[in-house]
Amino acid sequence: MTAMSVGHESLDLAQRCKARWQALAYRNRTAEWTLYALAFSGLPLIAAFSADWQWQRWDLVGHALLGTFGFITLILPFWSSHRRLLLRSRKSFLRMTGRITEVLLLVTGASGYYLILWGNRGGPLGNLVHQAHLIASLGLTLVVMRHAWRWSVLQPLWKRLGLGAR
Amino acid sequence: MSRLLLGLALLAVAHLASAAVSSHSLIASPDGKFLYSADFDSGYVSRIETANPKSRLERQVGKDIRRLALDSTHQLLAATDYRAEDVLLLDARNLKVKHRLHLPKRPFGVVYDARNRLFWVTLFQSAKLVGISESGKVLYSQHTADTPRGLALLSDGRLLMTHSMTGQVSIYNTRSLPPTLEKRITLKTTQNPDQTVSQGLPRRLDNIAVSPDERVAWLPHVLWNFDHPFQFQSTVFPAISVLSLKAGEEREIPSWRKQLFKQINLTNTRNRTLIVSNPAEAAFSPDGKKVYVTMAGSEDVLVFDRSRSIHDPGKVGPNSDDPGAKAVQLVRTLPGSNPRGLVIQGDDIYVQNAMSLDLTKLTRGGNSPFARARVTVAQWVKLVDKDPLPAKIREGERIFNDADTSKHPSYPMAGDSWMSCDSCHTDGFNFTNRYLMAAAPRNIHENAITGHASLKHMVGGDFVGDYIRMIQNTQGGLGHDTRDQAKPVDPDQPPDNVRRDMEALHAYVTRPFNLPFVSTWLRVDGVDGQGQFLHPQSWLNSATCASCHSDIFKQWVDSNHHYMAGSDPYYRLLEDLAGKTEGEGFRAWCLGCHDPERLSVGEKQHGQANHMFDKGGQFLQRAGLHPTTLNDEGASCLFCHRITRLDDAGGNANFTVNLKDRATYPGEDSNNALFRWFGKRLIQAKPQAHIDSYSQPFYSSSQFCGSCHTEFSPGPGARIVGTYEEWAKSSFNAPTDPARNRTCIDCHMHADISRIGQPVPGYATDGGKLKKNVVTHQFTGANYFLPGLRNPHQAEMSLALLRTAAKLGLSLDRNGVVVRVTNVGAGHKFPTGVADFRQFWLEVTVTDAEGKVILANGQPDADGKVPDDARQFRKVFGDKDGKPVGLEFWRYARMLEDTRIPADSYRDEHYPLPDQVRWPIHVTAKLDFRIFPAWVTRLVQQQNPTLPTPGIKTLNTIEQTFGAPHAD
Repeated sequence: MTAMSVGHESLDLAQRCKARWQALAYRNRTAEWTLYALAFSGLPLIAAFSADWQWQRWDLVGHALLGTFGFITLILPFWSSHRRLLLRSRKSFLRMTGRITEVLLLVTGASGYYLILWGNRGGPLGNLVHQAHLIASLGLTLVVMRHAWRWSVLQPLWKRLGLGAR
Repeated sequence: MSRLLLGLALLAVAHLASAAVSSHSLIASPDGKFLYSADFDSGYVSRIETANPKSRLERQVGKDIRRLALDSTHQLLAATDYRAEDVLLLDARNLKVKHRLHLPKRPFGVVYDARNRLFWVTLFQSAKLVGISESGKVLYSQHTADTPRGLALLSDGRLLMTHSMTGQVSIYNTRSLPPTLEKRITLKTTQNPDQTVSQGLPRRLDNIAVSPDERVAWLPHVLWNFDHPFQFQSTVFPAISVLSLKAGEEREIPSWRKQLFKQINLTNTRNRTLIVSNPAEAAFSPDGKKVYVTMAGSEDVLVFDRSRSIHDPGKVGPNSDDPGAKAVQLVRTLPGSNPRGLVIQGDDIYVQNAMSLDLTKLTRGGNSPFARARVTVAQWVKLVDKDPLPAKIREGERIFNDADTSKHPSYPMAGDSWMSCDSCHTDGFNFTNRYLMAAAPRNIHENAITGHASLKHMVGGDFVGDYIRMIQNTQGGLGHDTRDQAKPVDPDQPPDNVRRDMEALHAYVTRPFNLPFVSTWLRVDGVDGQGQFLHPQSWLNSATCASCHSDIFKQWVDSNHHYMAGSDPYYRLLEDLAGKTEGEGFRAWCLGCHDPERLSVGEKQHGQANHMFDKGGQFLQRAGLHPTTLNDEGASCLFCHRITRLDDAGGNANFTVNLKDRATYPGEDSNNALFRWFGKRLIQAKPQAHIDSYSQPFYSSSQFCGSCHTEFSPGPGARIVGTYEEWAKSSFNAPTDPARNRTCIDCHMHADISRIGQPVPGYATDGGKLKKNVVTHQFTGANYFLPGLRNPHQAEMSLALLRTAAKLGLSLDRNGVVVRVTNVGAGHKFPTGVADFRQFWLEVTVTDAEGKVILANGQPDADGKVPDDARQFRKVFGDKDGKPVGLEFWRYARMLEDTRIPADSYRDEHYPLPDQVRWPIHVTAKLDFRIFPAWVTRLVQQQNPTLPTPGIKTLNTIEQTFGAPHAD
């Protein structure tokens, strides 16, 4: 342990950054929690759920803030680092779900920023973006759950439900 | 065995539906062990054990509980909450609410239908009949005729429904569902040249009492006799109409109607006929031989004996004078206040007193025809331990309902127990006001007043004095009728106790759901009626809406719907005059539509700032940094788009503005710019709640506009502006013919006046959806002048619209030239609105063959004055003495001149030619317009010298040359 520490200290800044960057690819917990929190807070905002507005309005604040800042600071860095793994993965399933995740993440993120910065003002583009955000984010949540199954933060829940990875 | 079970089942069903049930405010459980009381605006329901009245259960379940009904198990109690607009299903054992259904507007009557296992409920204002299951689900909902109120279900499945404000009774068949209308009976209206004879329109039919044999139904009500100016002893009469219920042949039996002097003619020891008022509920004795009726105004129980009259309506011929029953006793005066419901249990009568919130117990005195009812326990049980209403408001409400002369002999509210305020103003001030005005048909050229004449301060200016005048002149109270030792009262200097009474009455009148601002019908949801107002920061600067609705904002900000109070110098002059001549409180009548934000926050007059020349709302934009500290004039974005309820009471801003329940986004109202920016981001990210919060289905209805574009004088009730009604009667109101139909919006909120009737695409939201026909917010109207000071384009739109209104035609007749002005496009009268100030007139010039002017009419003089002999299209209001009212238009009492042209109609103006005309002649006719007469503008300019002088605009011109007419 001591030798390792000494070794790290001897690395230059670029190497240390690279090491951190590579390590980030395996630190899925924060990004995954953020994603699920966004999905969970987004659900009551769907019109079909008819949630009470007094609840929705604060949920909207949380969703918007987490989406705006959490996506950039937590999800995007993780995924940028993590995608290196899936590109090299020998498992076609992970490569496939990884690709889908990447596309959905792009759509969800872009549409989310569009909605918060410009908005759905009732025009065709606004409606399209709104629908895209809704559908892509639902899909993203499901795909990520499956993609991250074995290492997911939800593993305790899956186990409790008898669905845990063996 | 199976046959036995079937027989038992049939027996059970027959039992369930074996007796008629009616909607009542006081009911008994079938076993007689319990009484249930709907405790009106205390919001309570009470359960009293008849054997032990001290064992009483009370529970506050709403705001204004009106009627109750028990299901067949006696465990489910339905209650209508009139003001909260809920129907409640309560556990009858503990009065806990099991189900609450929100059913606007004004649920009233309720009965239980054992055959169909549901409750029937009437929605008084919405005109609906609703069927509600025992589990609290709405199973049926159907429209009915206007104002359904009382209900009674007969054992054969016929459902009787009174229409309170139209004097009708509908009969529905509930044997098969949904119920089907079988018959509608209109109760007879009677008229007599002698106004002191009982007569008038049957109104206020709240309850139905069905005889035990179900042969007849008794309907207590009043008769409104408004075809003459209000006066004591001739305006309202008590009556009880009787229906024959023979299946398929239901009808009213006019000779059985109980009316004053004819069939209600009991005298006191001095041989003076005892007057009763406001018949409320009726109940038959178990053998059906006697009927007991509560008189809510005079506070009596009137007893009728049927034993010596024909019982079977089938035996009453068309010319029969058999009375059906005879009034035999008046139990006067009951100890409680405002008796309404009553229940008969054997020999006992329980009377529910709505104001004192207690029950009085009486005995019938047996079944003998000579039996006399009498009070046995004055206050048998208190219904509500602690009245939730403040004492002053309760006292005011009691006075409003009070016609009992004997209880306050020195200062009674009515002479001779004749009538109360409530005899006409049903449940206070609400949509029923329009039925009051409709009940007073008038030849407006003789008398345009439909309500209280002889008011000194239009109520709002000095409510104490004018309340006294109304009570004296209409009800005979407060010293008008001195036969019962009433003391005289000077309305201008009343004794302290009378003043206190009037202040209490005022506290009731100004409750939030009545007339919180007295003169206007504007209501603000959130004002608690305790003399408090909205906080100024409840309102938003309309400029905050511009960030997304920039086009709409630009249209509105320069328009007349914005600057129509402090920035309209003509308005200022008139509002100031109203305050000066009638009293400051009367300004509220104007402010309700012109300056509602200021009124709602407690300001008493228009603002002092004048933005008459402010282009594009610059001052609003500057104030945008502090949006919540500005109370703008006119119909702002938030004002119109937060009108959440229309109550068609006849105009005068009859709507409710609700700011407290709008869906706000965190940060949107913040004074912090960053938070506000973020709030807007949230709105744009998820705008549906924002859209829903500022939209109502009725916004596209012309009735919405009619709320302010219909005006009547508060108190006298003279119709001053009737634009909505004019349109409603015109061919432009054609909802089934879209090609012909033109609503207010179609013309006045159209983007391109030259294309009215065609859709004009556009955007309501920046970057939003392209609407096929955008509704623009410049509110194009006749006033081109004031918007034109800020926005020439809007002035052009106004003039373009005016030019589409009327068409000119020329012809000759024997006597000369005829100019025909046809109202082709106005959609309402030409002119409408303030047609007493607008100047539309014809300028006609005729030259002969030599070019010499042989006729000139309508040419203004050098000062701009239109000559007196000009043919003007206008209305001229006169006061009660027939003198022109001038600027004080609210004093309108009779129409002196009315040359307005109704929609789809025309007016021919004849111009005689001089003798010896050299033909041919050349005729030029112009239709000229000026927004205000020169003399009014000069008055305004004395107050506001910066106001330019509006010019004369020629709207249309026609020229024609005529040869000599052929001799006949």
